[in-house]
Amino acid sequence: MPGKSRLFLFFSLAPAFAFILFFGIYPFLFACFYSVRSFYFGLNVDNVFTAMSNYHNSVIDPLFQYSMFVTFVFVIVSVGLQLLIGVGAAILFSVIKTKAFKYIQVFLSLPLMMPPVVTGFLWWYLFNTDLGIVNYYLSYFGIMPRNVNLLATPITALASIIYADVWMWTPFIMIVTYAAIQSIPNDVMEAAIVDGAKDRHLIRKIILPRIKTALLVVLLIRVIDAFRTYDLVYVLTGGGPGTSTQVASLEIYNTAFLKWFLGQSFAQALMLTAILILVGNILIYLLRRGV
Amino acid sequence: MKTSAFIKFILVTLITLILIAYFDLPIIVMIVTAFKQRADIFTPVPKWIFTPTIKNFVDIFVGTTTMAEGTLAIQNSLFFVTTSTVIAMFIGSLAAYGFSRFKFFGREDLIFFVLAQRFMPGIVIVLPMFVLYSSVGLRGTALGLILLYINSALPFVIWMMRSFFDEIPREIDEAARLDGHSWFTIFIKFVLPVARNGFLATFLFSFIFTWGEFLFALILTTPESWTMPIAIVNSRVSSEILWGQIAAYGVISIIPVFIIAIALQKYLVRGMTLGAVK
Amino acid sequence: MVKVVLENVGKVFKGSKKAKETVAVKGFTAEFPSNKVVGILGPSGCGKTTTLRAIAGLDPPSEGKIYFEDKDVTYLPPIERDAALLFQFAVVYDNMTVFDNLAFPLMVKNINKEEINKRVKETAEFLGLSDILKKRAKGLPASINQKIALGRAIIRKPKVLLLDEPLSSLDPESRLYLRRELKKVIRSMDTTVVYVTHDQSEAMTLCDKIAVMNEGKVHQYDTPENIYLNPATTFVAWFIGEPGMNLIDCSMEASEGKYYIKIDGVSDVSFEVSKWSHALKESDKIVLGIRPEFITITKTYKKNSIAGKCLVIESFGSFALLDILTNCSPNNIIKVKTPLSDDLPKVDGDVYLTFPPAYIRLFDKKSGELRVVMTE
Ligand SMILES: Nc1ncnc2c1ncn2[C@@H]1O[C@H](COP(=O)(O)OP(=O)(O)OP(=O)(O)O)[C@@H](O)[C@H]1O
Ligand SMILES: [Mg+2]
Repeated sequence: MPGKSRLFLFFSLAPAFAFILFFGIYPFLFACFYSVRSFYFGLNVDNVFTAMSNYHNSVIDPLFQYSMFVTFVFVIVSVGLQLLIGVGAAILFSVIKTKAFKYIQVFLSLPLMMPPVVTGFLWWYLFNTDLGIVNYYLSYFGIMPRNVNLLATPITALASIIYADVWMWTPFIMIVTYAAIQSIPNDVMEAAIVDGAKDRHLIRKIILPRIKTALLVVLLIRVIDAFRTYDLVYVLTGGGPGTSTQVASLEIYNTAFLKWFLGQSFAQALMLTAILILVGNILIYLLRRGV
Repeated sequence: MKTSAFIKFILVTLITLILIAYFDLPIIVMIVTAFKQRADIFTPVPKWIFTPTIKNFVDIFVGTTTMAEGTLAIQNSLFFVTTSTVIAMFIGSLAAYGFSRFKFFGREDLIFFVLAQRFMPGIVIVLPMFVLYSSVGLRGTALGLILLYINSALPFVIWMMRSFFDEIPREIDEAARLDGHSWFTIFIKFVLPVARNGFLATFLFSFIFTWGEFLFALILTTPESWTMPIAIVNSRVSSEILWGQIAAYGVISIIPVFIIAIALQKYLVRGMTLGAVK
Repeated sequence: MVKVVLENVGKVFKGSKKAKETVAVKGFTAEFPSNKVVGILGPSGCGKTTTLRAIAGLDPPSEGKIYFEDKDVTYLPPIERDAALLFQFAVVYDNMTVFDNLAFPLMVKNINKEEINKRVKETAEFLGLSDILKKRAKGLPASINQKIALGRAIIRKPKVLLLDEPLSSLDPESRLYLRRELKKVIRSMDTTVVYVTHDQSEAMTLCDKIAVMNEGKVHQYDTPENIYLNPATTFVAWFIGEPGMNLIDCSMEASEGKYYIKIDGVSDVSFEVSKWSHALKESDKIVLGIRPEFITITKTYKKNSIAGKCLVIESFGSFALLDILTNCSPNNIIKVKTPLSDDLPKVDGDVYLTFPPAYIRLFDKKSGELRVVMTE
């Protein structure tokens, strides 16, 4: 590479990497450093090296264990449902060969364009016992009594969060999957049809193998984001009732800003990061292998 | 034959209606609520017919006894988000151009490193930043938040713009090189104009993501620098839940985003997958 | 195994914002006899693929009926027709192996594994694909892809085999080679074959009957021989042959109770047509057609010949193609195809063209239809 090109390459990448290195690496190192210290923010506690005890205490802390458990349940159920409904609808629209989806996809995409906080509030309102239409219509059709507060019992509260998350993200999977299916050459689908393939063969032998990559990309994005979910839960239940819907991000936030124990919250955050890296790497490995 | 076409039509219509209702009805409820008077909101049976009012919107801009005015937060949001997105677009496109046009040792690893940033939990970034900002006095300032927003937009911008640049034939650059233009001139004068649709799409998607950002703002802002999501959350902490005003806030916050979304239909999928699916 | 009958088949593609309405096929009526090879021949965009897709069941026609034997299949989905279609650009399932590609049409019919194995082996053997059965069908050369696609089409022994320009996307060498293979395949099968092409030599050598199409209409449906000798319209006359017929404006004149055809712009050349005058009387204008290879060319004047000047001589080894400038209209160049000999005229030399009456065809100018074959 000639000198001038090299110079330009350096200056084209430098500003971006200045940011990424500073805001990516610095916090990471900072977190690593203080995650092994008894670091309380603004409190008069000795900031000393405590080895792995922040990690150890987190791991044996039932609250943290529980928050991890809830996070996993949330990620698996929520993303699972989104995948099921999203991919299902996309395949359905493709198989019955209609252009309808193209015209409605922008309307379907609206939920995922909303600021998550607004989404949280919206569902908080819709799930409201006295005013929300969810309770009203559920009781109207006799499915459940009117005065049940869905956000007040652990199971229904988690279910409500998952419902809102599914509402918010299913369109994403649907739209991307549909686009991936549409990018399959028409010839191939028609050849299979002429070869006598029934819908189930089309789906299993032609469509699914060809949208695997897109599905993995979608899954990667969704799983990672779901693990980090914060705003929706914060607004909808605040982790309640009690700590029953306290997902990991919320737990870490509370450790930091209720207990002001930043050392321990760093340890927890890094463990969450480790899990994300692990899960992300598995998916990226599958992606690169081209499954 | 006619019958099966008819069944198909019914089926498609039905599924379409169900999907639209499922995904858009809640939003419609919110919009409707934003135009309701207090008395029309607090009814045991949802009211679909009522006399609309714009009082809720007025309240946001002038404030009430129970709710602070939101003009500042709206201004803040617009200012922070626009500034950070513009800067991220410039820095990110430049890097994306470098990634797209030059082969160098470790390029693929570097670009995956960029992507990895996007997967870092926000809380890991923001806690140390909180400590740092507190000690250098950046907490609650526009600059502090804008810097962080630039950083979070960068991976998206770089990946998206790289996928757009990769589609532009290298011959354009090479021809301009032969004419003696510098790389920077080529980037600004020849390549960016060709990629302008992609540039615009990336800009707007970036805008949408930052517009809704919550966690950083929650931890790093003070009432003077509240962004809209924070103002919305904080309007809950009052003696009575101001549903109408919150809904109005919601409507205000989704208007720009929806306009953008409708304008960007063509790039929807690409924007949502960092250019991985077209 | 079945005859395929098209009855007034038509297809209109509805217009949209971007494209205007297209009539792709109009009033296609023909019977494709069982176990014969029928060609559909015509220039690009004339509706060949559209017709084939209607027969395959991919896009039902917008009017008319299609029968397989006596069964109305017009709106049946492809799966209920047992017709195989080879696409213009070979389709292979590149996420599967070659074996799975060939097995696919059987697999979807729930045929047992042993039978599938056996038939895939047979077919692969027949097409010379045995060595690559285990390979993934990705990145293979176009001719192999075409063979795989062909294999998929024939492996289930379809009642009707539809081939859409199967050779046009290949390089010349594999084209010749595959043409031979294709011939072997077609002859060995008990199946009705519809062969779409825009290459007349392909159609002429492979097909028992040919439908010549232009702009969505069938101009002639006949044996290759008849299409060559007695084209039904001026389009067929011009399209078939390399080059096609010379088409020359002329008019009929009566004199002393007899009728003569006189070539416009050329005096003292006439052909007596009294026998067929009734067929020509309704025509305002008449077009005379004669194939370049049937014109006799001399360097000295002969009676009833057209004088001209030799403009271009192209030699093709065994024969030569000459452009002769004459006073004929609408096109004053007449093409002549003649065996190579020492006696060929020189460029710019004066020549005389004689049309043997037996090879003259007379068309109505307005409708383009054949009116008179002068031998009859
Ligand atoms: N799906 C479609 N929508 C609109 N118009 C179409 C469609 N398919 C074909 N046409 C039009 O119908 C006409 C006939 O097309 P067709 O593909 O049958 O031609 P063809 O004879 O197969 O030509 P080629 O030799 O180029 O393959 C063309 O004018 C084409 O533009
Ligand atoms: Mg065609």
